[in-house]
Amino acid sequence: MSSRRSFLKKAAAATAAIGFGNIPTIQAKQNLIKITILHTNDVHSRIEPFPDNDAKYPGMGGAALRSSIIKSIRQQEEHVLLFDSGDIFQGTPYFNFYLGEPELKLMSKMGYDAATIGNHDFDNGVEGLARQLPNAAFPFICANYDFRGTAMEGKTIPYKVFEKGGIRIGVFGLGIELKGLVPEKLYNKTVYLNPSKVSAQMAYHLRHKEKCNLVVCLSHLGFKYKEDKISDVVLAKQSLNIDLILGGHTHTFIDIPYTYYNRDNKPLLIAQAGWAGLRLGRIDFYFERKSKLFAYNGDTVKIMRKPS
Amino acid sequence: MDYKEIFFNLAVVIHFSRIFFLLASVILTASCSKQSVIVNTTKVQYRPNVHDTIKPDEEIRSFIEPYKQKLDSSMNEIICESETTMQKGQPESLLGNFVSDLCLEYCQKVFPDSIIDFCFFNNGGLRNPIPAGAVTVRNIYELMPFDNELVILVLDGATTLKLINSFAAVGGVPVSGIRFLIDKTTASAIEINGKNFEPNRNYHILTSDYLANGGDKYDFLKSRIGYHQTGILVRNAIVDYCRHQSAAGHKIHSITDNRIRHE
Repeated sequence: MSSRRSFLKKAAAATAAIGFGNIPTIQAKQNLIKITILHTNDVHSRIEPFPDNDAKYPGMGGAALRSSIIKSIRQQEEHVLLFDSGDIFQGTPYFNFYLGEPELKLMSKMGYDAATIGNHDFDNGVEGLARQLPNAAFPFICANYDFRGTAMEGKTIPYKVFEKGGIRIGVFGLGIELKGLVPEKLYNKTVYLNPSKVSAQMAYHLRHKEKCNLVVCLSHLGFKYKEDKISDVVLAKQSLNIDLILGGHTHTFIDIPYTYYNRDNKPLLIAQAGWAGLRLGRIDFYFERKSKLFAYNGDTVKIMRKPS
Repeated sequence: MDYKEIFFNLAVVIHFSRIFFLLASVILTASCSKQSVIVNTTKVQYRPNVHDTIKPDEEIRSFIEPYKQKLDSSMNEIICESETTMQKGQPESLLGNFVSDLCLEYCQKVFPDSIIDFCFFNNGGLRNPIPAGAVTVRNIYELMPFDNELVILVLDGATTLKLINSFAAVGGVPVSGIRFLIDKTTASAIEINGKNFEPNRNYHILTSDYLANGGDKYDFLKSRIGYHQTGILVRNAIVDYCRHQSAAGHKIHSITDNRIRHE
């Protein structure tokens, strides 16, 4: 018990120290392992920054600046994971003319570790998505689309376990219901499976069978809705064994991850990084080496040029 | 475990941390399982973004360059000037009215013999604003990236009313040729082409194939009497309209005229 108390003090001290940029020394001294999770969602083919005359986001975003920021974080941090929560495709002429190739090649160059599938990733049909997959050097993780009998059959995985500094991070993916959202001729024979059921199985498996210290859900369900519909918030409240939901679809800007409480009244986080590559979400988890208890600190990075 | 003690310790940490402008809130839960402790340290101070000193990645830029150059040659063409920034919104908006007005006008011109009573789209389908000033082909691609085709639906009176009520239920959608009042979640005072809605006749309705085939929860549109393809992409109609306005010496403009209003 006393170890937990001292861990809390250490964790608080560690996060307090962020402002001064001397985390590595404190980590070494205090035996903490830091896992840095970076994430995007709904980038929607925004390869270039928004134009300077854009009404809302003049000069903001862009793959080149995002890449530099990711690189600089990788230089500072030992254990970095980078995820995307879907809707990589559609929104600029890049997708109309190049069909998703540069999007996936850029994400591969940036070292994305995994992505899940959004509804707009079906915009050139399930075949159009399958055709682009060779351009991705990272897996597409999705547990609730049954692609049997389609061009995507066997090309996704339901979950993946990453191991960083002795910490096991289990990641599974959830897609949104396609009927009524995506034309049937595009998703074709893809079968949407109930995300509540699938995620319960996935999270249990990752926590108890795969012995993961951190369970992450890449979700394209959407943050929350007025109507009674599955969303990240609904999922969080009914869940067990999930620590972090990295969301998408609703283009929600969450600067600091929200804490929700699951079915056992245990806390979990929901994060989402707006859209269009305007933000890079960041959550640092600090694990104590022995107990594997964790603390976290979350913040998003704005992808914008220095004001001149 | 002594919870009071933990809170006391955290309180001490918080106290000292305030010197560093950190830890605006602390959420603590403690129980016996492995992953049960989350300490949320939320900062209130402005943390300088790392990118303040970071330049765009040259390697990435040079990778993008050939794709960009090829696109720029066709996408940067200026097709017209816009009087103002047009954004989407509810119950009606400059952008929604602009797109639906022009599509209705465009199809009435291309198919002068056809009857079109009104036109509707969905807000989700308008993906980006139109800027004030020069408008490029790229702007229209970003407004309407989808290859959606304009189609004319024929619906009976009951299904038409269901459709119009659905516009009200979501708080208003882009429309043209129709006016109504949102009365909580249903439409009232419905006028189509200046005439009161008639429940016992059929209506010809212009929309996109995406919506006509059940997209955005319009599943009930599958119970239609007729479906006519126009062969015109929504995006091409917009680009064409813009070019024509410009050739005629006009800037594009839009109005809101209370076509959809709350009671």
